[in-house]
Amino acid sequence: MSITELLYVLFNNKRFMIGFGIILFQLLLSFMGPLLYPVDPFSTDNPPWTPPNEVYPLGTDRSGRDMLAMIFHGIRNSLYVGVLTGLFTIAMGLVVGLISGIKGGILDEILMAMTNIVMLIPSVLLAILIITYIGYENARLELVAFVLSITAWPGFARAVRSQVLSLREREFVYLSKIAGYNSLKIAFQDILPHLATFTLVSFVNYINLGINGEVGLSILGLTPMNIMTLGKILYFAAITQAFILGKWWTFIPAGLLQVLLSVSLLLIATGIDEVFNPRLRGM
Amino acid sequence: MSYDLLKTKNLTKVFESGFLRKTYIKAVDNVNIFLKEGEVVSLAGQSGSGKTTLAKMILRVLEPTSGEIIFKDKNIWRDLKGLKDLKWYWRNVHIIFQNPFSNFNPFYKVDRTLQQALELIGIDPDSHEGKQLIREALEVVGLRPDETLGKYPHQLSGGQLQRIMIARAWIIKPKLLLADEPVSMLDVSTRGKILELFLKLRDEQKTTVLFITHDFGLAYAVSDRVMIMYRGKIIEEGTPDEIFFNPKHKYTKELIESVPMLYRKWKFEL
Amino acid sequence: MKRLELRNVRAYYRLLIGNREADVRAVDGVNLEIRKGEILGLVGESGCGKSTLAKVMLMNINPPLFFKGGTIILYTRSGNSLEISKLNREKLKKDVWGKHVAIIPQEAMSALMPTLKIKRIAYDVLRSHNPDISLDETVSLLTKRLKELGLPDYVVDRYPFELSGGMAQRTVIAISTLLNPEILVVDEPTSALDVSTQKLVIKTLWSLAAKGIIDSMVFITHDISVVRQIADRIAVMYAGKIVEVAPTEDIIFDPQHPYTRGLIDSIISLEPEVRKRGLRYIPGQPPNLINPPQGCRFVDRCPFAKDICRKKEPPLIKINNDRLVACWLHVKG
Repeated sequence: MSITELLYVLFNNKRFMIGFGIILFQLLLSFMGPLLYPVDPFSTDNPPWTPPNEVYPLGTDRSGRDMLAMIFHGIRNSLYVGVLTGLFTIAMGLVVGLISGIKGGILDEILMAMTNIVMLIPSVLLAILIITYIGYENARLELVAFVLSITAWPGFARAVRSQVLSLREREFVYLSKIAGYNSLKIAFQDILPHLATFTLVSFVNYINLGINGEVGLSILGLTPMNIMTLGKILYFAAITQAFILGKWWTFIPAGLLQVLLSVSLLLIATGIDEVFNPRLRGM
Repeated sequence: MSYDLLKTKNLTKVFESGFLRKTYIKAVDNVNIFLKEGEVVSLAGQSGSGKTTLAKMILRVLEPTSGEIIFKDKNIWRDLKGLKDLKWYWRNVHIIFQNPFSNFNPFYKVDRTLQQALELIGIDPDSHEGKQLIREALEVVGLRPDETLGKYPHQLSGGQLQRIMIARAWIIKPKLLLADEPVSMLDVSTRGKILELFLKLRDEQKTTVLFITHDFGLAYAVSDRVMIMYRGKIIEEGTPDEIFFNPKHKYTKELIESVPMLYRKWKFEL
Repeated sequence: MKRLELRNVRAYYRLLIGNREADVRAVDGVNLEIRKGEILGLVGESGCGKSTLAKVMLMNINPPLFFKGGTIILYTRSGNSLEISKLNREKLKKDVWGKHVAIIPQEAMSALMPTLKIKRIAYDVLRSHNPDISLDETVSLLTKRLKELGLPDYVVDRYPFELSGGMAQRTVIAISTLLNPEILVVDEPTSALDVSTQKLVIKTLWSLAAKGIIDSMVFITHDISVVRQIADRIAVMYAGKIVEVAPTEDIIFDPQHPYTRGLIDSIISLEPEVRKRGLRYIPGQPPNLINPPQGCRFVDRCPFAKDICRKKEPPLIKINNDRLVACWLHVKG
């Protein structure tokens, strides 16, 4: 199948299209929103606890921050953390998995021992340790993404390794080898293309993990205070007891968008899987 | 035709499996064979007899447990060092595998397999000379270059793909070509052409072909010499007529009796 | 006397290629009869539609394969005739499959449920036809049948993975024919086996027919040397069509259709005649069945092709008392 045909099938896949539509909508919100509604999300010049009205379409929170502005900036930053987490995880997993699978031997054993150890570390605990060590005043979104991916890559690395191990025994790999190709060339030319779909699907799933992980860390108060994210909005709602006071506009819209983002990423991942893995079609 | 191109000395490969309680399988057991220049030798045996393991060791991609493989006075697992030596060896010893479709990486056009051959012998695949060589090789194996180049593996038939593999061997001109069941996945009506090409390599380039097969009929039709492998050992060796019409070993005899013939019918009794 | 009759049967695969739908004409106008008491070999090369025909002749059709047209009539031992191409799946399951016809598909051996003992598998098979049967009855039936076929009776209490490939295949054959169907269809029963076990499986199939447990058999294979050992007649299939049907010895020693001749000549068997003859092959490739040529489908590879071969499809005609050929060379006048 050519690329255009693949894209055609992909864009005819219902799950993918629904997920893609939602993501596109949220991206549009996060980029167009601040332009059309240029309000500082940290400004506290507005009256506190204002329910949605003509002036404040989504109301304000206890400190008088504009909810709509917070959401516009929040989506963008949450997506940024997610994508970054995805990239970090995939990069680390691919490097370790490929080296382990192709080189084998003692290197493989060392890398896999390392992977197994990292797998045993509880991710939240590690995050608390790292961020309190650095100090959350200094923490940036990149650090949040990095902390999240540190405990996420071993699973992916192991999956990559096991696929490489089976690919390595395929005839065309032997034929490249006896044409004098070194391991690096074989890894890039013969093995990586076979991992493309799996990597893409994993990437989408790790974006999801990053977005949700950021919410978790934010609720614990471990993310930078000066950057708005969806998690941060929920954190502010939590510490101001908005849930108990019934100030629904401070957490329902943000929570809803967060769930929607997560669902759409899942839909995209299963959609891609269906298209590239025809056995799943029609199930 | 007198000297040995390649020989093995007590070649053995033991696979171990299991973690706490290890089990050992002797896939190749103390094998001593020799191959001379310009002959087609069949290595025939049932599945699991160790044929492919032996071939992979000779190809120098699977390390033997013990024993030696000597090619042109070099012990290939001891004396070859670095990529340069290995490339020299693979220019001299090449292989064609059984499944025509997994011989090719589905992500690339079939051209790649021939370009790799050019790279191996040190010719730039993009040069005029390189392109010319590819076209020549394809014509030798009876394919039209314009209808073959630029295609992906799934766009061609098994027989065509296997012919491209022979074209690759034609470019490399190895001294020894290992052919691991090269026609067993092909249709009966296309096998003859492929087999003919192996004989052509032998006749025109003095290539030695180690023809690995489970099919005694094929071994009989193409070989100058036949070796029968059984449970990791070479149990019998000789000319096709000796082996198939006057077998010495009990196992060979039994197998030959079970081979279905075209012009002869089995008699069953209730 | 006939057991099964196929008239102009067509069955296509519907494929989705990118965004277009296309039909692969895997079985395209097949006329064939299976006679009482015969073993019919159905031979052809990969992609010729023989495995599809195996499923179609028993109406075991699942998407993307669909029945395009034609008539299939089953003649039972009791003298009834049943147009099975008109029956729905429920009816076929209840009244036809297992009872009158049985099929052993290519992957049958590996399809045995690994967690059940052979007797339980047989029990499940029988119970789907007769809910009242007991496990003890099944065991005694199966033991008797295994003995008849020369198989050891310890098989009954084994799990499938405890049996060797050949034994598993022969057990599958025994279980599939417990209800003494009139017709057994076997698809490549020996292609995954070594030659020594292959011979045992062939012998088992032969004794099924010789003992009258089944009435007729269709043996589908790409390997003529195998099927010629037990087949009474051989039908040769090419690109979705039957091109020649004749008694086995005639096909082997005196093939009439150019494709059959090319195929027989290409066979490399362990015989001095073959080594003396040298290597032969048929140039070219079978046509694409999405868009087959309008005339004879073998025309591009045929050394005797004439003008008419490109224009009109040759009919399958009788050329002497028991021989059918679809080739313009044999059409008089």
